[in-house]
Amino acid sequence: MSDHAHQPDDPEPATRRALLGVALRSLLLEKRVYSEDDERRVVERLEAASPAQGARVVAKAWTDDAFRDRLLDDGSAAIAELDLDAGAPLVVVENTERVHNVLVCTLCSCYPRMLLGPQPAWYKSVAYRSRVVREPRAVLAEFGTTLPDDTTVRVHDSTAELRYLVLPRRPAGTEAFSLRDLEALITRDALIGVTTVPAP
Amino acid sequence: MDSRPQRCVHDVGGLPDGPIDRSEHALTFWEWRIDAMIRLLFKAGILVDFAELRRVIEDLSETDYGEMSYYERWSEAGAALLIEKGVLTRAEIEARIDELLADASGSVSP
Repeated sequence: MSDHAHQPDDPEPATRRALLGVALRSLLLEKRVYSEDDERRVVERLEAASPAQGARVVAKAWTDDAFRDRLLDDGSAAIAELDLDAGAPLVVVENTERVHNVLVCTLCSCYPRMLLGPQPAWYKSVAYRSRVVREPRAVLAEFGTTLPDDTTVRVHDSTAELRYLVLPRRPAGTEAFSLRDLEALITRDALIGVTTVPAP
Repeated sequence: MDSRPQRCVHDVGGLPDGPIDRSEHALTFWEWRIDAMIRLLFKAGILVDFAELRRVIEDLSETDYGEMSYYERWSEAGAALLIEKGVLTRAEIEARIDELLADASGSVSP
């Protein structure tokens, strides 16, 4: 698992600024603050996190009303039932016919990474962080998402102490879908709220 | 940019900005390693938490903040805290970067 992280086209750090992290790592290994085995284990754990975990949560909520209620009431406790941990208290916000939710961290990049995998670069970008709270509909349009005028758009600003996850609307035409088929429809961007889950 | 002196450099919510670059970027091998390094420093009890790391990132100059990549900011903040806590010295970090640069210039042309 860890080997495939080193892609042949990865740029080797070459500037002083880029080499700072390389230098720190080499000094910390030398001083035995941590070992290469410790590092490999952490990288493997981080790499294992992906939107598939968030999709499991959502597919379960779509098919189990009692679970959906528990999820909206206490996100952290509900995902623990699936052996998941967001690393910080989790609030799940539900999209409905009237309300669409979208997530940001205006100050930094807070994000339920164990449920969604690493943040996309745009989530961390100044352009997204600054604009989505000011003109969410324009930002959503850049992601190809157009909502009816009478839909309320709520933007949730995450912090290190509180993470959000969007519970998207279940698309029509999926009534007979298995959990696995539902999970396959659910994307990272829908769980951030910049897109919706399209009908299959 | 000059019209926001009252804001810290990271406090961008609500400011005007241009189109969002939506291109996907898989983390590089080195980015995973830096991410792991910071988490291992938490685990070792050397760094407290992300709030501590962010304190240093938020003190960066607007130029540095704008020019550094995400994980370069993490490295910069990690270095400042490791020096502050006496785990590493500025001199040994700079010396190690010099060695790495010398190694790189020996094997690849810029």
